[in-house]
Amino acid sequence: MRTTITTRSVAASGAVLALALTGCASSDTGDAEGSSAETGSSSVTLVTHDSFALSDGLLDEFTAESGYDVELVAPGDGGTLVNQLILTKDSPLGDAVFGVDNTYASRAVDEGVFDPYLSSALPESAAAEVPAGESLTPVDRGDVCINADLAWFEENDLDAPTTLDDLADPAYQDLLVVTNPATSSPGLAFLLATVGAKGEHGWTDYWTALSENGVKIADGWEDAYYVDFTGAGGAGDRPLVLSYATSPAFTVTEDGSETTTTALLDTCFRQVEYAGVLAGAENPDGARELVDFLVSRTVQEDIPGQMYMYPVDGDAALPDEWAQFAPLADDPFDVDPAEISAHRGDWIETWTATVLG
Amino acid sequence: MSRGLEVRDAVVRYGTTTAVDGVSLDVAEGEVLALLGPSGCGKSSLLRAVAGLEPLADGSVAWHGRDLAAVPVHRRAFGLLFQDGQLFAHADVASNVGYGLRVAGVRRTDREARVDELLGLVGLSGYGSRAVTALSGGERQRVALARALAPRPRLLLLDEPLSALDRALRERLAAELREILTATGTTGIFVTHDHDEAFAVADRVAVMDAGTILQVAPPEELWAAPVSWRVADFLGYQAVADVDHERVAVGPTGLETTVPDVGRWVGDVVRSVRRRGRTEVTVDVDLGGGVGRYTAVPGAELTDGSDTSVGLRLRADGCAPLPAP
Amino acid sequence: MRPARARRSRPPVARVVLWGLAAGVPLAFLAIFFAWPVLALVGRGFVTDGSLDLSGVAEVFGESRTWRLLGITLGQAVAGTVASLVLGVPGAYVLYRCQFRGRTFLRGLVTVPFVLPTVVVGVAFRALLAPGGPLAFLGIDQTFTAIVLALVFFNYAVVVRTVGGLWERLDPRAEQAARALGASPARAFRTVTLPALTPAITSAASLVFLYCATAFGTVLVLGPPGYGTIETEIYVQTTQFLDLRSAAVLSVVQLVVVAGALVTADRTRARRENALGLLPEAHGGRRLSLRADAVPTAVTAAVVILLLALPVATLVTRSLHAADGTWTLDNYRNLATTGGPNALSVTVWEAAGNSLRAAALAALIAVVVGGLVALVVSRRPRARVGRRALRALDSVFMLPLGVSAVTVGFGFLITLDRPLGLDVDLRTSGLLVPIAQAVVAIPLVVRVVLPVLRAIDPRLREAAATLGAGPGRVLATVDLPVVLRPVGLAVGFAFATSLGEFGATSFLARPDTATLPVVIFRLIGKPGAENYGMALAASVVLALVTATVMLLAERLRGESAGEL
Repeated sequence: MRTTITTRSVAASGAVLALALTGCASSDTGDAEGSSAETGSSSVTLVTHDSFALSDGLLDEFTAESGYDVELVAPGDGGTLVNQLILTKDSPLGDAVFGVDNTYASRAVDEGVFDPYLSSALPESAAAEVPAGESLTPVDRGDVCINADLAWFEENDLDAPTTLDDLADPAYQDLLVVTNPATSSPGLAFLLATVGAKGEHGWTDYWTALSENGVKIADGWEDAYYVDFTGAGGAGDRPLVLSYATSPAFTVTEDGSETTTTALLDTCFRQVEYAGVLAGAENPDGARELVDFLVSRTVQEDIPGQMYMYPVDGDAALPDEWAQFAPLADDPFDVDPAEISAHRGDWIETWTATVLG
Repeated sequence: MSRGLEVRDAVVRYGTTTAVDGVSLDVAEGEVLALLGPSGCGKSSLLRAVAGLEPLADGSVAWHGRDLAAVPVHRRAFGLLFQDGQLFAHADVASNVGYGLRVAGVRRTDREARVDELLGLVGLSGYGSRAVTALSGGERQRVALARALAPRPRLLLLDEPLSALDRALRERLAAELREILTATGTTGIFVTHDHDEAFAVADRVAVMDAGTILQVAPPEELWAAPVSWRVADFLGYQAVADVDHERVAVGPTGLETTVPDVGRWVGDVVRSVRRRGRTEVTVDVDLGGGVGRYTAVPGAELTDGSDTSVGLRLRADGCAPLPAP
Repeated sequence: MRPARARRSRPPVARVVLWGLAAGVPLAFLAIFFAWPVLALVGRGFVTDGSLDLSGVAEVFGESRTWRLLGITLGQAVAGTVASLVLGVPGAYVLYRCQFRGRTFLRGLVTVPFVLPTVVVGVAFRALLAPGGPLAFLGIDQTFTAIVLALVFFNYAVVVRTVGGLWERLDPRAEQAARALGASPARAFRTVTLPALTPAITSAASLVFLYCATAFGTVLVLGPPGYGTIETEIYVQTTQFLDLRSAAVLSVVQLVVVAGALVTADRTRARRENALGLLPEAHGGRRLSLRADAVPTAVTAAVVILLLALPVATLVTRSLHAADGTWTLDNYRNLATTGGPNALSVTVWEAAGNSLRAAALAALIAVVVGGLVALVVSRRPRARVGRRALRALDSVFMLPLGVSAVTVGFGFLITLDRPLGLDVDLRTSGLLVPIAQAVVAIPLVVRVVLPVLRAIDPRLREAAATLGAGPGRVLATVDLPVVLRPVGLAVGFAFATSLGEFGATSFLARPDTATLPVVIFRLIGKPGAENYGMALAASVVLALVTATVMLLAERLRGESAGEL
């Protein structure tokens, strides 16, 4: 893999600095063949988001099993990733992709970005997360939920809210901060949770009620969580924040006995991340093998510790503190991906008009 | 084939303005020519065109018969000395003087010897390691001169090199410059608006006005026979007098006072002052073109300076005949 | 023999070729790594099913929101620029014209904010201003004022350094002459010094305007909810709405705003293109007098302490605190890890190494390309059309600062798979990161070097030429020594900008070559006190590296006395 990169960089720098060098530039396939002659393998390129991570050595295992080196390209996350896939569909950035989620997947599918592939290695327990059309393979999932600062509620002698309706209850006035769905992906997920909960026609009334109850809007998650939230060590004044179901696992006390925050599991939207094979891939076989690998038990059990997401394999072992402090919601809200794809823009605009005026 | 510089019908334009309008000029090898004229007459533009710094819109510049149109500035081996020296401020005196030698690839030892020689020539021995920023105006110009002379230019172009200096220094340096140019046998064009300077430095003087050359002649000849009042005016002649229907240019010492009934003209004394050990009388008089104020030399007849009305006559050695206009 | 007549002298072919190359290489660079990607992406927005579709234009301009965004963008850029200038010019005076202990240190310090990652600074700023924060009483949390203050925070250094660099070399005698003629200090400043500083002030203003107009992270974190500029809207349209059509129209609007600003700056600059009376070396200035310099000193002290040092100090203190409020170095120890748990795919130190390597390469490219641009633009061709062309060239290289990183980053993806038809996929090459960084560093290099090159008296070059120096030799012996100092400074600026560049880099960096700003962004995007602490500590490291680089650049000014 190192030789591959070096050859490429050299070829590229030649191209850039001399602007006229044609002799030594070698093609991607040339690279792959070249390195296969050296190492007995060729490579597969995985396009993913910048949160992608696996334990050291895991990808080497894949290389050992399949004979393919893995190269990573991580051009952004969420919408950025999807948009880049769409823009480059005539000249794809790689062979396989991981990290497209259910809020964006339909759009990419409609644009013909993928060669449909549902891995046969996907365990039965993950069947519920398979998208309609079966063109992608689910790999991991997570819930976006309101988090509560338990210490704050204890100090103020108030019971933490549990449902979406509680959040609009005057008892919890001026306590919630969420993020803008136009600029933040958890913000969009929470908007979708309210759409799923209140229906296509009821959600705007719900947000009107939230506004009247003093909901605060931040543009980014880091902003809301680290500045406005009381439970992240900052000087914030909001004990309720939009975050992830896994977040409480990061506020466990030193002795590991309890967590100072909790996720309100009746306020969640389920995000599912998919892997797929890119249309026009140079190495579609390698891409399919890589997708199979991502849903294998080894990788599935590695995901929580590396990527903060739950594996789709319901039987995969979880870190202890997750089971204890950060369980998934039993019955998260969901919205049909095709609906999301069709209405995302309208909903965000309506939301902006309703909440920000 | 001519030896030296040959300018033919040179035209220099800036946009729509014509700064030099068809000038032809020769400078023989070893000769120093002064270009004399008021500011804006095109003399500096002509100089820059000779140096190759301005393109010719028409005409030609040649050296030893070889046209220089295709020769860039740095290959002409023409030195140039600016009014304000343009020393390289980031280098010391010796580096400045040695610049042209270094560019020419002269060996270090030869270079140092030549730099010392030139610093001696311009009276700045031992100044080599000084910063140019620490020099006085006169010293800067000496360094600039040494720098320009160091590579032994075929032709040295001097663009008002003394005009930024004070009068006493200017006069002294003009004399020195003449000596140095003669001693080194340098061919030169010396641009100035000061006729004294031109006469002190040059073998021949070209009087220039509005982009054209009015007259070229050695100083004495020029002085004795200006071709027009315009030329005479630049040379410092103060008036045209009408003498029996002949036009005569009256120089600064061309008018002499006498008793009223002896003089050709009668004028009123305005004042009488002593300058440089000589008395100068200022008079109002009509020399044929209306009343004007001129300077006259006191004649023997007039002694106590208390007269208010005096006679005036011409002094032959202070006047020159002018051709009919 | 009469010499051949009336052949108009033309510059020799070799010279034309050389100057052509000097202008052509930077232009080719800009075309491939900026113009083509941007045009290709914008073009996609205007093409539907293979035919031109301008319906997006009418649609976008039909919305009142677009006009509001345009107004906010202009308001924000103008307010940010004016505030930076008003506060920065006194700073330039104090830091570059007065002597006092600790001046060099202070010069380095004011540069630090310029390269701090905007998201971290945004969060640090908000921690000060938000309810519960030490400055909550100001009541400016999530307001326009907070944004403008943050813009000054980031851009103060641009004004101070650009203006100061010229000011320290202005011949003080012109101002002294005015004082001797009876002008009060204020009047002498206004009538003599200020006009002489105009080229540098215009330079700084156009840079700051572009930075302010395209600010992204700061605006999102510090602005009121829903506050948006054209820059943030392009991001939203592209990444959330997946609406390339609107994004394309907005990109064009952004280009128009930027081009308008550049033309205005160019007009102002062109009016005083005269050579200035510059000293060859910075003169030390006179000692700071608390009485005579009371106003600039007070302004500078207030800005440095309240606006620059306070947020930086907050950042540093918080980086030294654990979540429970006790002092600790754990956040720094953790920089050798990949965060908790595994927030990153490289350790922060590895990322710092990546950053330094990329920035060194980027600075090299930027100085070569930017130096060539400055050199070409500093010439004064005889023909008016030539002068116009050079001024246009100058402005064109400023454009990358005014175009959204989203547009450029996405543009790279659709154009650089086979650049110039070569079979090299540059999109996934590690080389693209330094190139993208160089594109935004070049304008800085040009702005730092150009005013000094322009201020060289052309007769100095002529004097060298008549002494036998060819054009190359003239460059090496006349221009280069004078320009060494600003080049040192330009290297520092280019390096520092590249170190801090986030926008384009975040699209291009591969997980194993993530740079410091990219990992900081990832760390602060993850929950957990450990990650937050590491993000702060990593920002402090970034700040320290930057300050060091800038201090070195100051020292590297070139020992140019003596030999040429």
